[in-house]
Amino acid sequence: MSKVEVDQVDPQSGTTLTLGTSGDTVSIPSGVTLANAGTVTGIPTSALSGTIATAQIADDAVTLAKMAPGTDGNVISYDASGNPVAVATGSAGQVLTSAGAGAPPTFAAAAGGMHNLISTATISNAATAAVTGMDSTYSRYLVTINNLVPAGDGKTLYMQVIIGGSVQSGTNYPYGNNTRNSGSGSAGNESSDSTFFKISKSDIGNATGENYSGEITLYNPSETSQFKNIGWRSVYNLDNGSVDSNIGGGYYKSGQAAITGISLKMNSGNITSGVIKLYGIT
Amino acid sequence: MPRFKQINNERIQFTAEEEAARDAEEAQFAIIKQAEIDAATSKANKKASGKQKLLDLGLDEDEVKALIGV
Repeated sequence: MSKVEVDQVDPQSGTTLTLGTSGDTVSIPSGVTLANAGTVTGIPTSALSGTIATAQIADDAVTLAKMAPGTDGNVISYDASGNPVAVATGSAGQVLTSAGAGAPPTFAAAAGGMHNLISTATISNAATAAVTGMDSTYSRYLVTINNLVPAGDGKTLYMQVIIGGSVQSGTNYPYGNNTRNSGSGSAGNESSDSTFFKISKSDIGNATGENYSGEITLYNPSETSQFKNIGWRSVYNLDNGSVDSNIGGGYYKSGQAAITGISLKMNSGNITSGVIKLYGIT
Repeated sequence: MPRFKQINNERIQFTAEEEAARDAEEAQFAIIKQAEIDAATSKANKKASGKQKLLDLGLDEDEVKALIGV
């Protein structure tokens, strides 16, 4: 093998310098540095091998399109070894939940908050509207009433409890209301022997925009050794254009049986509309 | 027109017995409501009468309002 020792090789003519011919191998021995201060073109990616160091990848250079496809809904996390892992998609409504140090997170059902929605009912032209589903799961239940509108003008909203699937109609509903009216000031009403809880003191209007909104709390309705105390508070528009802010309460005095629901009705006519939600409170 | 009861989101038509019970209940509620109206009217009248007697005794409006709120 002959050896050429020169400081520079230039084309004999023109500007193109060719090394070898097709099929030849041009070797660069170990320890040799190939310093390029110009431009290298025409090297196919198939001819490249080895490792691209992190430092050789520019910041912000890796686009989403450059990432390998994954599974719909997966998210990327890291395992205990620090290696990237795909977190499985989970189910609709689940939330990403930390597993603490040492394990990647997973999708899981959201932990219950203070108010746990149990059901939603939309009232539509009903003489009575019942909400059921109270049991020993929670020690307190909250019924919210949004935008209840009576079919007739100037109606009063009544409530009765449900025990064993039946609305209780006996004279077992002592209650009291403390009411502040925007026009006439403070007032209230009460009864020691009613057949219902009156949860609006005054007459609810049904003109455009007028409605009753409020909430009812049942304290420990499923236990069976104490009377069932029930509280409510509400704001409602009256048929005379004023508004009542009402806080009241009562108890069902016929025994200590578990209450499983409540039933609402106007003093006459239907409830045109409204939304009732039942929450369990932890 | 038949009435309906709604249990959660289920609408159920009243039975004949339930219709009769609701008719009776509404009639009873009307009696209760009239009694409440009568009681409120009586209370308002008595308050006005009492106020007038206080005024007749020589109290002025502010003094009466301080005593009974009206």
